[in-house]
Amino acid sequence: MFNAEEWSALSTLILADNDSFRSVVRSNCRRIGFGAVEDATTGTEAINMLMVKFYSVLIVQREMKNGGVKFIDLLRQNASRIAGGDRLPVVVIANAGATPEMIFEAADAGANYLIQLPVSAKGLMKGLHIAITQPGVFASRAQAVRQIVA
Amino acid sequence: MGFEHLPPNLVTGVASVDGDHDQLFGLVEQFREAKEERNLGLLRSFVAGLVEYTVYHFKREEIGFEITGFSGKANHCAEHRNLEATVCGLEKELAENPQAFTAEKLEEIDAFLVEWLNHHIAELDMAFKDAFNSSPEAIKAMEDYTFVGHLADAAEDCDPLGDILGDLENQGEGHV
Repeated sequence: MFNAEEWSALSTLILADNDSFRSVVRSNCRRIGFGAVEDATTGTEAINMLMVKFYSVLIVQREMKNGGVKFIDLLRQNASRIAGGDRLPVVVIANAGATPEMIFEAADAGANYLIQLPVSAKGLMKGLHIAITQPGVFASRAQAVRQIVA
Repeated sequence: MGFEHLPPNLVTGVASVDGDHDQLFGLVEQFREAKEERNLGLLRSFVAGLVEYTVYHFKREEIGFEITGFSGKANHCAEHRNLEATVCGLEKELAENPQAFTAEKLEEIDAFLVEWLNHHIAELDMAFKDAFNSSPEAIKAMEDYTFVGHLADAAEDCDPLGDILGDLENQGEGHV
């Protein structure tokens, strides 16, 4: 796990169209100690921010109006246009009651972790740390479970 | 120094403590936003944040009590344990019986949290400010006790995907 100094060297962009959702994630990120916490309310706004600035990790609300996972899919297809390209770690936050299918869908779109509400600083720290340091683990775990289901 | 959420009359002058109190008042304000929206997942998130930060902040203050030998420690820690039990109970009840959280009950919780913070800081925390501020060792130890350090082991051990995938992964292990 990162220490306080390491977290402070990281930046995050939060993409969510729900005010309270942004508020809870933003405050958790600040308490964790991110050096910069910024947010966007639409996919277009997020893309514009990602084109001009590098972020250590992107956090996306799954249940936003036009679909958080659909946004990640588009982001991965246009990786050459953003700072950090296809290596930008992406964490999805879903409403409570997330299913394995939601995990498969997020992994297929190129997400690097999924957390469901309620979100705590502890859970967010774990998900963000894995997405940043072991970006392939989420897809591997999803694939392993998909084989069990099949 | 001005704070975003902490009322000026509740500033103790102990920077780490005031910063934590500012966070706690901020969490209560977020609870207020979530209760207006009636989004259970977000409401539970705010309560989870309140539990995490309350436990952390109390531990931090108690590090100061140990170093300074603060005479009001026993009574103060008892109040800490009481609030910890209350917010942990709230978190559990919200998870197990969310329909019991009517608008009226949420208003009561809001009022309780604000009242508790005001009372506790004004009447108990103000009593330790001189002891803390006259002990550079206590000030440093409290500043060194970070939120991420406090949560690191618990974060390492937790598995946010486990609630969703755990049963299927256990089935897979059974087949091996």
